[in-house]
Amino acid sequence: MFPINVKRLASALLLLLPASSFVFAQNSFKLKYENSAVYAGIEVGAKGVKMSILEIGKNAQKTGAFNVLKDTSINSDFITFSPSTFQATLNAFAGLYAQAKKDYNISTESIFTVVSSGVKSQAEKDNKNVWIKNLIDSFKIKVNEPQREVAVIDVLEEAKLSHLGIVPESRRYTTFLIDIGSGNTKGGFFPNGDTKFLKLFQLSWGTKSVANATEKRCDDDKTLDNYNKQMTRVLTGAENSEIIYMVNESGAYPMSDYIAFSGGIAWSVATLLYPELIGNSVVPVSYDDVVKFSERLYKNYPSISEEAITKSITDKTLDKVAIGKEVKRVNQVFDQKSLMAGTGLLLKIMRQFEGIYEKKQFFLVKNGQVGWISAYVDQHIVK
Amino acid sequence: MRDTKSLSLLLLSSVLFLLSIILLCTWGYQYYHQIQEDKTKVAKPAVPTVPDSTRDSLLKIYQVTLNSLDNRLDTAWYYADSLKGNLDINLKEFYRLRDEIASILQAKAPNAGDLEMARKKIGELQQKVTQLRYRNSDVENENAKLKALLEQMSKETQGMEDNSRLMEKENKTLTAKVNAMASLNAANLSLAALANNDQQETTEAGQTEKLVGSFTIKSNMSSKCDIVVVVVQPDGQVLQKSAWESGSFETAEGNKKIYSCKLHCETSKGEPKQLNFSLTADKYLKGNYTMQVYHNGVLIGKVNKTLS
Repeated sequence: MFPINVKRLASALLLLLPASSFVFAQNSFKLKYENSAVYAGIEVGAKGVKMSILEIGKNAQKTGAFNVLKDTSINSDFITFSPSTFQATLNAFAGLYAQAKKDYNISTESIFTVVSSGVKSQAEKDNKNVWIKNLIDSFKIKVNEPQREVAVIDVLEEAKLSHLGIVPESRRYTTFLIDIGSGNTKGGFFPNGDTKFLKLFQLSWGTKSVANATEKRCDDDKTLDNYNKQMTRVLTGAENSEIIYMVNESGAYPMSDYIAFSGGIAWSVATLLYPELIGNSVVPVSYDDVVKFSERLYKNYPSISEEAITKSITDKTLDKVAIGKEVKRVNQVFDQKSLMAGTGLLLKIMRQFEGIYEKKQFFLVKNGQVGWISAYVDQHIVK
Repeated sequence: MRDTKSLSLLLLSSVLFLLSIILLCTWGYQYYHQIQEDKTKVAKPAVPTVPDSTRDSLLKIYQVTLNSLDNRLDTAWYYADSLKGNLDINLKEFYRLRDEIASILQAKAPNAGDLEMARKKIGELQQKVTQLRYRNSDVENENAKLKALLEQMSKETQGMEDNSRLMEKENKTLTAKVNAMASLNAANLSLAALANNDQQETTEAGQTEKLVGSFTIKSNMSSKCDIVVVVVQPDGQVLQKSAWESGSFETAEGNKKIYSCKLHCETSKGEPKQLNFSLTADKYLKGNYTMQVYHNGVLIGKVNKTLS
């Protein structure tokens, strides 16, 4: 009798131990939703390996209820496909996996591992697909999980997953999602009322490419006035040669009521323009607001400093320290000229949807970078 | 800095002057000897020759003078926009003199007349240098005056911009107030808590599943409008419908405020229109909930609801 009880007690303790550690893991994060669970998505990207710890709420697909608890990355430059970058990527991949398991106590079933479209397309271009296969195999051996699934995502699937992860179900078929990256812009919408087909949209312009083209035009005159003048010319060229055509060709105007922008510049503009909405992952914005913000960047840049913005906040219920931190982060990522370039490009795209009679509602998405991985996680959760 | 340059110019002028006297003395001495020789010997046509050393020394002085001045003159040329006309003439004369002296001094066998001419021209060149120096200082003074004027104008513009900004802000506030008060008002405001799958109204925070609000708006004219609803929870935080439906707006007083939801409507002149909304939260706190209705940043209605 006694040994049986001891055995039962030991079993119960064994069962309780991981459960309590899971609860601890959940408790160590500040959760946003009542009925939610914590997952980790680890993505091998072109520049490095990224891990997102996500809180996914009940009906996340329906309501867009996901919350980024932690977002961390290690630069490894996998797409150079050299032995050293391969090893660095493998170490980062396995290291983040171990961190999710041990430091955050996330069970292996709740950790999702993928290779992003940036890696896949570059490998196809350079005929280096075998490097991806080797990386996946080496990772499985290193983490000692031969059965682990490591999916390789293509551009279309990533765009589709981004849409599913960011846009709530109620607006799924009326929202055109555009991701303004550093070197290009991509996005799409679901034209047929289902998620089977996503109409892809791509531009060869991004925040950095506009800034680079402008710098190139400036020659020796590095003044802000000249930068602004040359940037107007670069953007007018981009608008006339590509943006107008690509937006028209996408057929998004008649099909979309909402135009949502994600990417670094969307996060920056949203944070600087609406610091009071720091807790919101998405903020509504008007074309006129962005025009005014663009003028502010050029004529009154000090007004977007951490000090100026926190000083302007009068609502005592807002966390000024957190706002200041986020504003500082934006200013560390983008300088005045990059902000001007990104905002200029954003305005040129917005302008294509700013009709005289029919106005679209614009949104800026702040956590777009984890949109697709959250949708991937959400789709693969065993419910 | 300028004093040093002036001093060096003065020194150079003095050296030039002394060398000119030495040159003249040499020339006088040679001339005298030649006359003496002419008297004793049979006169034969001869070209007076000047020793190379004399010519070289003059050339050297001339070069030093030019080198020390060229930079300064170029600067004066570049910056003296306001006095460019006069400076152009002076500089042209300077360059003409310089070229003439150079051609005389570089001649293989200059005669005494040429050297006399060179001496005169060097004197003129020195005068021009002095004139240019004065002109340069005039240009600098003029530039300083212009700079001061620009600074003053910039300060005045800043003041005007500040005034303009203030006026714009006041205008905005007044316009918003006039627009809201003249054209739209809200009545019959209600905020209720629903339980049991929206079937029953409750006052218990624990039972609440949804907050529903309604109000009637009446306008003096037919128009499209956006009504902003703010529901403040007992902890002072605004209850937001969702990130996609909430946002922030500027009140007539110029403060930014978070709103719970925005309602779009079309009004007909004098005809009341009822607007409804609902909000859900993960958890409902006990205490006082305040519903505020804004149009164009102006508060047009307010109601409270208490949950126990």
